[in-house]
This record gives sequence, C-alpha cells and structure tokens, in this order.
Amino acid sequence: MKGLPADLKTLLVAPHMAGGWSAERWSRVAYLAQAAGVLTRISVDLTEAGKRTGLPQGLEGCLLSAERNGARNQVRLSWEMDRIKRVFWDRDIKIVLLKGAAYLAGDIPCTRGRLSSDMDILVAKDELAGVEATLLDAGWVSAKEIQGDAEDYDDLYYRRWMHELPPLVHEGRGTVIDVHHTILPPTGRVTADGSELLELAVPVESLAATEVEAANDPAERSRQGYYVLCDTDMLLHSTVHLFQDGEIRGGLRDLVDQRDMIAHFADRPGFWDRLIARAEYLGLGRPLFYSLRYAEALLDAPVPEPALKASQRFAPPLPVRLLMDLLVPRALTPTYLFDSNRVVNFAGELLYMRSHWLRMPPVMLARHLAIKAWRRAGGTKTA
Amino acid sequence: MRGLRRGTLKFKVGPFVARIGTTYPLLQQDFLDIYEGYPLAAPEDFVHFNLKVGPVSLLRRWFRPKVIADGGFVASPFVPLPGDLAILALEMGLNWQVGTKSDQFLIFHSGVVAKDFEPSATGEVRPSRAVLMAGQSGAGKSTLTAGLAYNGWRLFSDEFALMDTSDLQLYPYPRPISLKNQSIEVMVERLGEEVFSRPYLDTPKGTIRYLKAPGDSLRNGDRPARLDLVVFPEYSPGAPAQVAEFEGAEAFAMLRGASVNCDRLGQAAFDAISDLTGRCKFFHLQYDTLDMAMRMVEDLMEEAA
Repeated sequence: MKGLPADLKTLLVAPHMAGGWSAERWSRVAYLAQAAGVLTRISVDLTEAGKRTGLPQGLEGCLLSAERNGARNQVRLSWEMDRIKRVFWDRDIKIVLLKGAAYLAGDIPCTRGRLSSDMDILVAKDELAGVEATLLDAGWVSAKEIQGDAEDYDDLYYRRWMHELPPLVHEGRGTVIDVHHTILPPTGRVTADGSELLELAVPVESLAATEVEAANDPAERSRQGYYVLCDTDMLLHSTVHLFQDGEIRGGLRDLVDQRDMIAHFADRPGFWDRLIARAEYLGLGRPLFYSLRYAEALLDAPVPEPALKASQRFAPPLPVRLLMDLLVPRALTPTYLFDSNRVVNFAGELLYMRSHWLRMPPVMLARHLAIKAWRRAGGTKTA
Repeated sequence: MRGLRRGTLKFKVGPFVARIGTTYPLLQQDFLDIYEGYPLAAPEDFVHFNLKVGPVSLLRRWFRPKVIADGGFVASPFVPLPGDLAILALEMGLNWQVGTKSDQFLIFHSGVVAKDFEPSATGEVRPSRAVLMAGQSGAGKSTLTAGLAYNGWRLFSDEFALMDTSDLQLYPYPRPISLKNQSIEVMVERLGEEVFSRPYLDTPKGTIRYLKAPGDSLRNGDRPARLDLVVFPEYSPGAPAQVAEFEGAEAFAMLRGASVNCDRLGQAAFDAISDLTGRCKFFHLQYDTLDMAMRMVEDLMEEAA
C-alpha cells in the first residue's frame, strides 16, 4: 500500500524525529500539512517536542500563524458551546456534542491544534423540531436564506433524506451549527439509529481539579452540562463520517483524529472487544474495518493484532478491498501544488462517486443528480 | 521565464517568499515586466506562498481566454478573469494568501512608507521611521503612498502593514501599487511612463495600471521600521486643507478598524494596538491636491520626531 509522504508522516506520528531538513523539504511539507488541515496540530506538536529552533528562515512565522489560528478557533468553539447552552438553559434536553466540539469538551488528544469550522450536535429525533424552533428564535437563521437562495429542493432534501437539519447560521457571530438526529442518512446502504447513540452518550467530565477552579475557567464552564458519545461511538462516528458518508478525498485530518482516538482509548479495559461488538451491533463494521486498516497502515495507529484480526469479519470482498487499498491512500494524500496530481484526482473522483452510491438508492441518486445538473445548467447554486 | 513556466520561480517580498508558476504566456510577460528587480529567494529560504495561475480549461486557453488563480486551498474566493487580466488574478491571489495566512503579523489594511536615516557621525544607527496611511478605499491612500514612495520615502506597502507584535516593528511588503482610474493620469504625469505597467481595462475596479515598486524598497525589503505616525487621509476636492489630531479611545478604535486580522490574533493584537495608541500620533487629513497631502505628511513626521 502506498504510504503518506515520508516527511508529513514523520510530523504527524513522530514530530520529535523531525528536523535537519532543507528549506525545500520544509516548504513542501508545510504546504501539504496546510492543504490537509493539520498544520496547526503539527506546530503545536513541534513546540511540545522542543523542535522550534534551528528551522529555516521564515518557517517560524508560518508555524506561529498556524498556532494563533488554532488558539482562536478553540476560543470560538468554546464560546459557541457556551452560547448554545444558554439558549437551552430552561429545557431538560440531552445535547450531545459531535466531532470538533466533542474532542474539545472531552479533551481527546486530537483536539490539539484542530480547526473546526462548524459546531455539530446530536439530539433525539422527536426533539428536532423544538430545537430548531428554539435556535431560530434565538438568533440563528437558515444558511440558505442568508445566501438569498431559499430553494425548496435543498431544504426538502435535507429534511426528507438527511440525518441533520439544514445548517443554521448565527446572525451576529456568523457561526454555523449542524443539528443531527443520527450520524448517517436514513437513505443510505448503512444506517444508524440515533437513539442507540444517545442512550450510551456520557456527560462531559470536568477537567478542573476543584469546584472553584471549574467555576473560574470559561472553557470549563462552557463544556459543563453537555454530553459526548461514549468512546466506541465517538470513534465509530468519525469512521462513518470518513468512510461511509464522506468522500474520503481530503479526509486525512479525520484519519489523524481516528489515530489519536485509537491511541487514547486503546488501554481502557475491554475497549477493543466493546468496539468490535458495538460496530457489529450498530451495523457499522465496514467503516471501522477501513479505519483500523488505514490508520494502522498510514499513521502507525497502535491497533492490537487481535483487534485487526477481529475486524476482518467486516472486510469487503477481496476485489473491493484491493481497489480501496489502491484508491484510499492516494485520495487521502495531498499533493504539492507544483506536482502533477492526475492520479490523485482520478482516485478522488472515483471515491466521490462511491460516496454518493453509498448515500442513497440508485433511483433516488439518479433523480438527485438530475436535479442538481439541471440547476447547474440553469446557473443556480446547489447544496 | 523558464522558472515561471515550470513553477520554480521563488521571489522575496519583504519577509515572505512566494513561489509562482504560470503556463500562460501573456501573464509571464506581464509578470516579468512588473516584478523586474525583485530579489530571488535563496535555497535556504522557506516558501510561504504557492500560487499557480492558468486557464480554467483547455478550451479557455485559446477561445475567449479565462484564467484563475490556484493556491491549492479548497476555500479560496478566486474567480475566473479574462485572459488579458491574468496579472490581476495573480495579484489578488497573492494578497488573499498573505491577508488570510500570515497571522504571525498583525496586519493593517493600509499604505505604509518610511524614512531611512544615514548612520550618525558617531556611527550610531538610527531606526527607519514609518507612517501608516489607512482609511476607506477611494480615500486616496494608494495615490498618497505612491507619491511618497517616489519622493524620499521607502515604500513598505500600498496594501498591508505587517506588524510584528513582539517588538512592534513594521515589516515591508513592497508590491506593485495598483492605481485606478483618475489617479493613473496624475501619477503618470509625475513619474513618467516607464515605471508603469500597461493599462488593464474593464477590470472589476475600472482601469488599473501598476506602478512598479522603487528599486530601493526591493533591495531593503528586509529592513523593518518603527511606527510613529498614523494618518487617515481623505481626498476632498475644493475643500481647505485640514489636519485634526485625535487620540485615546478614538485612536484605538480607528486602528482596530484598519486591522485585517486582529480578531484572529486576540490578546496579542489587543496589546499591540493599545501600545501603539499610546505611542503614535494620529491625524485625520483632508486634502485637495497630492502635493498638499505629501507636505502635510512630511510636516507631521517632522513634528512626531
């Protein structure tokens, strides 16, 4: 299997080994890291590893810029959590943070230097309408409306076929929130029952040593009261997002998240047995298989041998596996702007088609693509 | 030329190194004309920005050419432009990257020029001293910047002031100055044709000509300056010249308003702007002619010294 570019891999999995590189190598790898959305994480890790000296002229500024960006992103995310909680202060409702917000609130290692654009939450399906109404009442508006493009089809598409509401934007802050009721579209080859996930969700744990400290720390205050998915589900959600629902292309950051979660959860008692059993139960074995396979192969994730073996039961037929082994590493790998990227583009296109194929039944897909194509021909924007 | 075609051309703009590539012959010509005299990067220099400009498709290379900039980032706002305006795609592409991905600096949307001083008789080196010109677009900051840059001041930038928040030094970002519509005529008359690019007609901002950055600004692109003076010029034809000093909260708010990325820097930006508010002199300038404005800035700098 084709691996990641060597320097990028070093920075991601063993930053303490980085260094002694020419400016040309640094320039290239910094570009790749930025393109993959992992430059901030790498900057944080290089600082941690004491590797911020003796770098080529000009690189320090680039890393500082990335770090500042990350710090500000986390403040914003924290503040957004605080604001959203405030909206629901008088409601007895279980709000589960997903993705970036969950990693931040749960202090999962992949939160370091991670840039999140949107806030994602999961609520029970029968709470959905109420949650939307409350947010609309409190200053959020439909993103489509803001673009002046309140096309019914997009809205209808979301409401009828998706696992989340159409994105809502806060008028004052411009921040986006995605409200989910499950983690996969109900139309897909694989679906997931949101209520199962909600049931095992756990309250965010306090990271403060004392109550006084907790009360005085804004980040601590903003995370209190929320839920996050339990460890197995948190990992499964990320794998689903990358390998089942997403298009894989450009998803290296997600695989890095998964690697960190694997390493972080690996030593919890019975984690691997629980993980395999949970994937089986929820019907999410296939994306888990891919995640463990590629996180191990590309990012040296510490997956124990028995777990890798156990996940084999979720493997696709051999020809599919061989094809995926060919495509996935290429689609995940960013290319330098001045290098030819034809192969990567082709791999990306194929996987993009796959992602649509997995999302909806053929007839519906044909209809969806026809509507999109017709609208594109007419010059209107689509979702 | 070959480096440009292959995308191996690396040149320095102040503290940055940009790597540029284009296979579009007209752009190669325009670029080499406007960027003549820029220092090339050394092998030991890190490349901050990568940019490719090319036709949007094979068809559009030859038939009603359209070009677009590509910096390799998914969320970039670049739009296709007619082939004749390819240099604009490059200029905007580079400015966008600098404006959104250089948070090591506190950036102000402004023109900056500085006075350099010879070492004194005792050999003591005196720091260069800068004036920052901010304000609405159309207020005449480009014209004023251009006028000063060719009249005893060193061009730092007509677009972005780059401030290191750790020592409050301004760094040069000497780029070609884009002059629009009426101001072109005024400046061509002053400076002559040879320092200008060819005209670009029917751009989104009307007619544009690029004024080349003076040679000394390129050779001294790594020499910072300290900021002493902040002015908000306003061109008002027929009105009497006016200079109005302001300070304190107003100065803070005006400077903050000119900043491109202070919210991304947070505390570091707040502290820097606070310090500058206490240290610099701030003025609103109302002027009628370019000469008048230039004299005002000269005088104010004398006073601030």
